[in-house]
Amino acid sequence: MNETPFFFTLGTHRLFAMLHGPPSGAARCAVVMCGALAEEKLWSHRVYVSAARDLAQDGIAVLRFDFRGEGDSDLEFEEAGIATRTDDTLRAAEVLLEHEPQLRGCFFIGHRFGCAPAAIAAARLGSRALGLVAWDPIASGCTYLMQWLRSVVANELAQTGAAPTRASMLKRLDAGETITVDGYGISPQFYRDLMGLEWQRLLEVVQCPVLAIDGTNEPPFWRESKRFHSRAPVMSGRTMQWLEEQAA
Amino acid sequence: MSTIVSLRNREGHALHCMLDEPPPGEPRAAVAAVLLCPGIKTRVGPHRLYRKLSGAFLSRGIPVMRVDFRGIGDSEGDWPGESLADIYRLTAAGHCVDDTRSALDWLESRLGIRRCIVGGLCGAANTALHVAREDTRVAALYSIGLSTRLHGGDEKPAMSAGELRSHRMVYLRKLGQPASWLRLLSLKSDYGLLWRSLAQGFMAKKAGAPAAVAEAPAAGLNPDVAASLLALLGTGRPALLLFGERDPSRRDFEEKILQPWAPELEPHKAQLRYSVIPASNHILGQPAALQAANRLTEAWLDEQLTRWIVRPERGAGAEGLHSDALECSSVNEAIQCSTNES
Repeated sequence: MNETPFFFTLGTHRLFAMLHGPPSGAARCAVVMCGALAEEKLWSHRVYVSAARDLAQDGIAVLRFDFRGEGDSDLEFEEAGIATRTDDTLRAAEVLLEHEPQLRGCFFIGHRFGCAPAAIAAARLGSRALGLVAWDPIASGCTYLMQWLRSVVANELAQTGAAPTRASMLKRLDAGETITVDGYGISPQFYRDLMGLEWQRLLEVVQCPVLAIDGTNEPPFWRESKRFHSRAPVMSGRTMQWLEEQAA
Repeated sequence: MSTIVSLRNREGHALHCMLDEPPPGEPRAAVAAVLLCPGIKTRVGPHRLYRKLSGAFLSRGIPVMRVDFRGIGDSEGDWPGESLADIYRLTAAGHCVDDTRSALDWLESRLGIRRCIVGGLCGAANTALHVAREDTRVAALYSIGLSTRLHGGDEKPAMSAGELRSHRMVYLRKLGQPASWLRLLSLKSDYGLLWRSLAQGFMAKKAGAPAAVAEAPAAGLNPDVAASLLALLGTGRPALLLFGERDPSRRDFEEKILQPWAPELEPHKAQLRYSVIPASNHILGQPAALQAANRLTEAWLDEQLTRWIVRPERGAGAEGLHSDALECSSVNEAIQCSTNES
């Protein structure tokens, strides 16, 4: 396997990345992958790895990276938001294109919350953004946050018999406090980011071609389940086919 | 600052790990801490737990290596199955021992470190116990939420008395909620669990002594846990066992290991540090739980690993071990606590 783990920098911060290259020769196409948020990212991690390996086998260079505040990158979770994640994505694209100077641009793949920074970055990159693939994008950040809080409360109640109510958590967020959910600090800024997130509005500014793949096509590998999902065959297959068409 | 370490396991798979070292010029300890991937949650752990715990080690000059096993995180290789229960079962049975030893090999050959504190959350601690049985480079066990169960077999793991009691309390609280009654009447409830938890309460009252319930056969118990723990302690090596108070693993451990094995553990009580972090869950998901875990870790390092570590000048952590925040801090107290609670 042609895989290189490394750190790239953004200002004084370091971001962990993994570059998946074709087995031999130059890449004919390049993709930046933007993962989901918090525990959804951890549950999905192996799916990203497998998808990146499949794409690399097909001659596509893939850069997976940890947003700041997640994984092995700098910053605490509560210090990061959509703005930092967008900057991270743009920097990742820059790093990837420096590595593949023969290419005129790159594609983005986003998953769940990662679709938002991927879309904003694609819009900002202009003509160098060749396309965006959105795996089960979050339609509404507000709904997403409510579901997240509800599942955390339900889980905590089931496992420990005690949990704060969703209303009390929202009250604290509204009061400008940082709350901890699932071990992740949600800051007032990130709360505002989530509440203002609307996928359709983000799409309005994206100029490049977009493929959105509904999450109902796969088992929800980004959530805790009885299975360990290492692949998402439908999403990966459609992505591969679409990239082939776009790159042709 | 983190350094990427891509080492090869004995089957040739690249395992991508992360090494955090004390700042250059700072004194170095003679040991390293090796935090193993817990289940499938990669080398950072849930909510980056391992990064949050690393400071306690680094402040004492101890480098920290975080390891992704084959088929997990960014590493090469695959897991033999796709059932999460099977993964947990295989982990508990020692599937990741070789990968851990490869990490120890790397630390020895590249950094000259021949003694390591090994462990982590849940299955990581089980793996560390397995490795400790056959590898003397394991200087100590560092465990959070150690699992005593074997998942994924034909036999469903028996719930501990404490766990059933917790479910019973939840059911009783739901009596006044219409949505819960709707769920019950629409056949969505887990009737088996409902029956077991209510019956356990009834039986406990009838018997008049909680011990009668606690002595139920421990189906699904991992037989290696007690044996490996005793083997570790028997060779003079220390162990820190941290549990969240609300972690079902804690009740399991107390009822299936601490209580029945109390006589065997008694001679080793000076090496075994057992602490329960109040109001915490399995993953230490709240900031207060993390702070407590870090204090306990620092105090344990200062107490048990003095000959290998560098003591920080600020003397942090000394107050951590017997802080008021802790419910239990030794085996005897723990047994007493769990018995009283039952």
